[in-house]
Amino acid sequence: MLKNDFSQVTILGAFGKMGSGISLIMLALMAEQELASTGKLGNYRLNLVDANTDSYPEFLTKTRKYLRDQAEKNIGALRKYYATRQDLIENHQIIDEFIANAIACIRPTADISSIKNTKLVFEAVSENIELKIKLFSTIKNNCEPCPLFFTNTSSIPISTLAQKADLEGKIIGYHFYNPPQKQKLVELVVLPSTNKEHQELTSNLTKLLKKTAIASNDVAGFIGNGHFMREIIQADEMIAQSYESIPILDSITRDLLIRPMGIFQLIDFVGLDVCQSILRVMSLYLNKTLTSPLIDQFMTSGIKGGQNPDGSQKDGFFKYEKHKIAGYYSISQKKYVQLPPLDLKKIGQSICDSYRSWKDISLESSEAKDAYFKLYFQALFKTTDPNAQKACAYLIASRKIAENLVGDKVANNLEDVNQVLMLGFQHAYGPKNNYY
Amino acid sequence: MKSLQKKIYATAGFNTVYMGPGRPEFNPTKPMRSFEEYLKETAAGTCSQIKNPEFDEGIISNFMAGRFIKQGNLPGFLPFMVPSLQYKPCTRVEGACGSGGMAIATGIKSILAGCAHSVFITGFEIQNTVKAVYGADFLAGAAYFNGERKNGHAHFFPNIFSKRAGVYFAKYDAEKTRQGLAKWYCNAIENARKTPKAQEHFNDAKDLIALGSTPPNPQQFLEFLNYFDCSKISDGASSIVLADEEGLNKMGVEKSNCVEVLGFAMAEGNITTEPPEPDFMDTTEYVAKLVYKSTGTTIQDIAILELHDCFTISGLLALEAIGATPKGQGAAFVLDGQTKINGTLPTNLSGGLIGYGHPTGATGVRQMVDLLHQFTGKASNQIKPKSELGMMVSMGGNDKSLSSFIVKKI
Repeated sequence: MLKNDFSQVTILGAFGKMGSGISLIMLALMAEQELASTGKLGNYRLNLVDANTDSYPEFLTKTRKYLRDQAEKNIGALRKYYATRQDLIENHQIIDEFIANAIACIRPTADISSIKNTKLVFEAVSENIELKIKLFSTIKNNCEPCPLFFTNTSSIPISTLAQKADLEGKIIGYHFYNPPQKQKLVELVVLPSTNKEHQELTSNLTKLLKKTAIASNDVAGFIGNGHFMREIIQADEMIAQSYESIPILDSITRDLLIRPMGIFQLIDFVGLDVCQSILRVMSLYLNKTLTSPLIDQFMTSGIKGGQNPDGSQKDGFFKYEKHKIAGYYSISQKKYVQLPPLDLKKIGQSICDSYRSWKDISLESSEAKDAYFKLYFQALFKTTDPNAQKACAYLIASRKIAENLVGDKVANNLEDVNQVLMLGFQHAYGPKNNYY
Repeated sequence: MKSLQKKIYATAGFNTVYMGPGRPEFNPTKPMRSFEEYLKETAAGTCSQIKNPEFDEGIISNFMAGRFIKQGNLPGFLPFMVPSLQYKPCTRVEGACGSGGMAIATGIKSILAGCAHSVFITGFEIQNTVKAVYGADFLAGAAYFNGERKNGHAHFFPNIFSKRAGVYFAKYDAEKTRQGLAKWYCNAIENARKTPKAQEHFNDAKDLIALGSTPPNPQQFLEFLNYFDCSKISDGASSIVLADEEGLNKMGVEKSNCVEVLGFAMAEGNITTEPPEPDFMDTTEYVAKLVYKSTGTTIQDIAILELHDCFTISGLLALEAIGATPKGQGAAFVLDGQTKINGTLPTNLSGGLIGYGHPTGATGVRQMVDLLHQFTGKASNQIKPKSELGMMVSMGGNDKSLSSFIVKKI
C-alpha cells in the first residue's frame, strides 16, 4: 500500500458525535489528496457506516458548510487544481464544484458487509467492546488486504481490541477530541506490534490533518480520560453527597481555577452516560473500581446531559439556555431550580486585582499568561476564603492525579499531561507549572 | 495660472462612516446597514449644509451594485436621496474604483456645457454583502474579465498589484521599498486615527511599521504584498455639490464654504492590454501631466494631495507617476516623511483608501470631500496648507480609468 493511500476510507459510527466530525475532516482531506495527486475528484470513496442513517441529511448539511469553509480558505490551491476547467472561472464556481465533487465521494450505508476494498478504517462507535470487535472482524473478513484500523476509543486498551479482533500490528489508538474538526489534539496509542507502515501513515495523517498527537501508553482511559475521570471522582468526594453544593464547586473549578468550564458542566458536555460508561470500562481493564456515585444517582433520576444532534447542550447537572447555565437540578426537589446567588469571579477579583477570566486570558500570549498565573495563584494560595481554599485543594489533588498518570506509566512525562489538558480540555495552564 | 472657462465650485461635502472589518461596530453575522440608509445619510449630510438644496442635475457613481446588491438603474435613487431631483436629469457613472472621480468630471462637464448650474454628486458601494473570497470576483470586473479572470489569482486585484510590486522590487531596492510600503501603511493608519469616521480609526496596533513589514506569504495570500498593504472591503457613501456662480447663488451657498475646481483631466488606458512597464503607472502620469498643463501648475504648487492607494504599492507608484518624486524614489520619498502631515506634500490626510476605507464607487467623491474640508478648515485631521492648491487622482482598474483635479482655496 502507498504511504498516502486515502483512496478508500471507512468511518464506523459515522453520524455519531465523534464519527461525524471525523467523517468531515477525512472527507476534506481525501478531496484535497485526490485533487493534489490526480487533478480531479471522483474516484476516492468515503464509506460512512452507521446503524442509523436517518441523520444522513443533517450530516450532509453540516458537510456542505464545512467543505465551503475549507474551500474558501484553500481557494488559491483549488484554482490551480481546476485550472484546466475552462467553465469554472469565478471563485464561487470553483468552490461549488469542489463541494459537489467531494460530496459525490460519500457512500453512506447501514450495511457493514458492503465494505469490500477499504484501505483505512476509523472507528467511532460507542464504547462497547463486543460491538467494536464484531465490526472489525466483519471488515477484516471482507477486505483483502486487511485495512489499517484507527480506533477512537477513549477508554478500552488497544491491545485488548487488537487481540480480540485478531488485528495485531494493524490497529492504532487515534483518539480525537470533541469536536474533531476543531480540536487540535489526538491521543495516540501505538502498540509495540504496530507495523512501521502504519506508524508512518499515522504520523503523515496527523500532519495532514494539522493535529498534534500526544503519545499515551496503552492503559485504559489513557491520559485524557485517565485524568478527567479521576477528577470526576475527586469532585464527587468533595461534594460528599451535599448535592446543593454542585453549582458552587462547578463555579470554583471554573472561575477560581480559570478553566473554560466547571467540572460538572464538563460532565454535562461529555454526557453523564458517557462518563459512567467510561468509568465502568476503565474499572474493568484497570482491575479496580472507579465510580462516581453522584453520576450514578443522577443517571437513576434520568439525567444524562450530552448534546443534541444540532450541537446544543442537553440538560444535565445544569439546565441550559442558549449554551449558558440557567439553573441546576435539585435532587431533593426533583426539578431544575435557580442557581444560588454567588459570583466567584468577584472573589477572584478580591483575591487578585488583575483577575482575568479564562475567556480573557486565553487570548493572551503565553508570556502574558505565565506572568498572570504566577501572580494569581500566589494570591489564591494565600487566601483564607473557604471557596479559595477548596480551589487550592482541588488544584493540588488534580496535580497529584497527573503525577500518578506518569507514575503509573500511562503518560511518558508530565509535559504530555499538560499538553493533553491544554489542547484537549482547553486548559490555559497544565498541572506541571511553577505557579503553586 | 489657467482656469476653466467658467468658475466651478465644490461645496457641501459629506462622507458617511466607511464601514467594514476594523470598525468595532462591524459584525458580519448581524444585519448591516442597507445601501438606502447610506444614501439617505449622505444626501441629508450634504443638503443640510445648503440653504436651498435644489439642484439641476444628479450624478451617482458606483462600481458593482449589480453584483454586490443586485441593483441596477441607480439614477433612480437620486430623487430618492434628494427630492428636488425628481424629474431632473440623472446619470450613473461607472469606471470601477475611479467611478467617483469620473462622476465629478461628468458633473463639471455638464456645468461647462451650460446644461446645469448645480449638480449633486454622490458615490457609494456596498461590499460586505459577500465574503471577500466572492467579492474578489465582482471586483475583478475592474480588469478585463474575459481575458484575465480565468488565469488570475484567487485574490485577483491584490495580485495584479502584487505583481507590479514584484517587478518594482526586482528593479529597485527591494528592502527599502518594503520599508516604504510599511511606512505608507503606518501614515495611513495614523491619519485614520485622527478621523473618527475612518474604517481604521480604532486601529490601536502598537507597532504599525512591524505590521506593515510582515513578510508576504504566497501560500496564504500573495507573493509580494501582505494584508496590510491592501485597502479593506468597505461599505459607505459620499456626496458633494458642484456649481457655478449662478448655482451657488440659487442654493444660497457662501463661497467661503467652497473650493474652486481650477481644472481637471481625464485619461483612459486600454483595459485589454497589459501595462507597458509594470513598475510604472503610465495613465496616471498622463492624466497628471494633462491636469498640470490645463491649470498651469506643477506638483511643487500642491499643498495637499489625495492619491488612490488601493494598495501601498499603488500609493508609491502614483507618487512617481505624478512627478512628486523620480522613478524608483517613491519609497525614499515616503520614508523621508514628505507625505506625512508635516511633510512637504501631505498626502491622504483622512487615511486614504487604506485608512479611511475603500467603498469603490464612493472613493473618488470622498477624495474631493476631503480636499474641500481641508481648504475650508473642516477636516478632522486639519492642517495649515502651505499653498492654496490641492490635487486628487482617482484611478479605476489597473491604471486604466483616470481622472485628476486641482482645487483652489477661496
